[in-house]
Amino acid sequence: MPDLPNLAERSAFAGRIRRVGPDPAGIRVAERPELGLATLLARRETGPELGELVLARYGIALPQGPFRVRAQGTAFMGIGPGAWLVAMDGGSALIADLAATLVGCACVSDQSDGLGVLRVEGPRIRETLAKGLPIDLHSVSFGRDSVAVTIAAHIGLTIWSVDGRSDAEPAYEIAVSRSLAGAFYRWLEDSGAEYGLSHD
Amino acid sequence: MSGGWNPCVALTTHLGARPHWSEELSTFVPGGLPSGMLVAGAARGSLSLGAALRDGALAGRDAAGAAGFDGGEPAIPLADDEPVAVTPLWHVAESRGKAFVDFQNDVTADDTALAAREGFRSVEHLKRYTTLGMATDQGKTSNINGQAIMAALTGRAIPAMGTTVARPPYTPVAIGALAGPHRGRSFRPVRLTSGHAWAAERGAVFGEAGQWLRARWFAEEGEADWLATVTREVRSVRSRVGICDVSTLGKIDVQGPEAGVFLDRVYANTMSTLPPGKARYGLMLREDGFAMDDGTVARLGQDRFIVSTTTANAAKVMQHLEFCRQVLWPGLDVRMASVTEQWAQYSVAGPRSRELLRRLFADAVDVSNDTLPFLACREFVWRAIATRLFRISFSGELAYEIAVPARYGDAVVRVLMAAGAELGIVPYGTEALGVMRIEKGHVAGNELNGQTTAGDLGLGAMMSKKKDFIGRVLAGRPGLTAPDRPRLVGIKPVDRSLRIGSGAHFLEAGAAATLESDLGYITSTAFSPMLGQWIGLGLLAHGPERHGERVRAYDPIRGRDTEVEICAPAFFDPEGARLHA
Repeated sequence: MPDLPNLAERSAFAGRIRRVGPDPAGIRVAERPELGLATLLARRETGPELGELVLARYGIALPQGPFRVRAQGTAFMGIGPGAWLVAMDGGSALIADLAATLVGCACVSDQSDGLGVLRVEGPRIRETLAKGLPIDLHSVSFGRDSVAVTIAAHIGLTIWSVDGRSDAEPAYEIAVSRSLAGAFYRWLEDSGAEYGLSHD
Repeated sequence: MSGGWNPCVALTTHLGARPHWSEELSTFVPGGLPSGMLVAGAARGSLSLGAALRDGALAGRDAAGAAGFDGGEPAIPLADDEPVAVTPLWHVAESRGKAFVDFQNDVTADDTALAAREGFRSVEHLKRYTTLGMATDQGKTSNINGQAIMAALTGRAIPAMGTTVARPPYTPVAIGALAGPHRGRSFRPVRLTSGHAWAAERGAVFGEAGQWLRARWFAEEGEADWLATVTREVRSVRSRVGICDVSTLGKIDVQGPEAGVFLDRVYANTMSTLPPGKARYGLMLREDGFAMDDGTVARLGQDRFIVSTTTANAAKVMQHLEFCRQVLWPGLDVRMASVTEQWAQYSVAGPRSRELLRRLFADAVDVSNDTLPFLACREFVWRAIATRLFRISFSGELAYEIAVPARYGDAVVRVLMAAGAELGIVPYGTEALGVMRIEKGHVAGNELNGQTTAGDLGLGAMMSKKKDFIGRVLAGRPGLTAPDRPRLVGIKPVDRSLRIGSGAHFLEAGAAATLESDLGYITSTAFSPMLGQWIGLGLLAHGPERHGERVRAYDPIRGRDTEVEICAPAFFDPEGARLHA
């Protein structure tokens, strides 16, 4: 039996993030490869039961709308009627537990590998994102824990607003399909280069 | 030439609102405004300093209020309202000299008069007959004078003339600013599989499949051309073992107690009878009865199916399934999610494929023929990662597809190559895959072209008679069941040394090359290494009844007219012995 190499993991944005443009950088970018991610789809007529199970297990009131609710390392993002994107700091191993908790009540599909997530922030991040995203990113319209399913540069993405340093220095997390991570990053770098982009 | 003081109304008209004529100012001022727009100062005809400052302060207060802020009453700076009065002198009609009205498009007062004489008197006709106001300034320097002259010539007041709307942009914008980064290779996004970097290192030549890049072939040193490479890949797979990246095919996770019911309604054949741990080939029809997409459905559990689609139709099928769920049958207890990106998937094909998997997976799963027969599927943990194995085959060889979470896609293709080195493993691309499926007579995109029915493709038996499904009724229309519809056949040039090409049309010997004589056409061709000659699949009127007969493949674009023999679309291993090995 030949000596087989170890199975290495390769994250969606591996090898892509690099420093460009002026220093100090106006935007900072870091990948979140450790996140466990899943789509959670409510089965018909199980609305209240699903909410109770999520509250009991995760201490979270399931958001009904484009909002994010987070507690103890688990976040639920509303991405459509009866549909949520779940992000778990503890990693993809927790997705099986999520599915088991909600069995009979909701359909869970692991997307930990299907999506790549970037955390982006800094004093110039809004100007950078505004070059491609059609939504209003002002803190009044898209404040902390807002969620949007939208596009940039012909690439579908989900964006949610997280804890930035201030209103003037917001932070967001953006999820894109793994196959489009390279194309998305190229657009992000193109758009942010004039302000300076650095790895967090 | 002067038009007086003209407020910049263009922005207010981009969404179709028309300006109003102000008799007092002899100019147009904003009329209806788009929602959310306020206009202040000279832009709305408040021409004096004091009036402009007042306008601005109050508009600011109103805008802040509309955005949810209360700034209180603004302090309006003191300024005089200097007198403003205008008396227009539109045109010295007695002058003999050329008088330009539109400097950009060289429209004169005489041109305006000609338009009036020719009957182009409305403001919209004046614009298009003379091109007045059609240049990049969109009439900022010309409209008012042109309209005033036309009004005088036709004895009407200016407001009765109406006005045209301006087109965006307000000021010229470089096309480059609109294109932004979408130039060259970045015109549209490119999708890459997790095995892409490895394939590029191997020197793969890539081709586009929609937005995806897929490896077409992997040339080796000294090979004369792509045909030599692809022929070698096919021979290697059919004699040893090969791997191909099939990650781009759509994968849809269908869950719920009524998932089987749902799938029975969208597929022509039955899926609810599929036992867990088995897969089945499926054909989806459009509502109009034509074939839409094919793929395999694997049942991983009582309430869990994985639906596969062709690469090209992945998004369309997902959209179709969601439409069926949300609109047609909202009461069904079923949900679906695309997992195309979640799994890296590789086909492992050839007589040595089982041995390769035995070596690779060791104790993680039993791949013996008894435990994992043709069309079986398994989920298991291999080296701590969730792995799926499907015994399905597009090439007609003993074959499997391995699915791993995409973060391991790069590692797994390398591990497969390493594990298969002793077995003579080769990577193969979409071209070799195409050759092999043609040798086996499997239909693909060329045949599933939106104009063919299940019957045309030789798949009529898949249409269940025990259940209803999308496309069933309209597939029964007389036009779609007519006996002379072109149907799937195999073809081989009678002269084995000759080459044939897709798109050639079938004619009887001696027939004129006219539409009336047209019997059908070749859909797919390939050089078959197994037969040592070119072969093809095509759609021929009465084709299945004409096996053994000869027709012509008429190909004027390539300058060929080739005698071909009609045969069954199964050129190699027609019994499927390799499949069930």
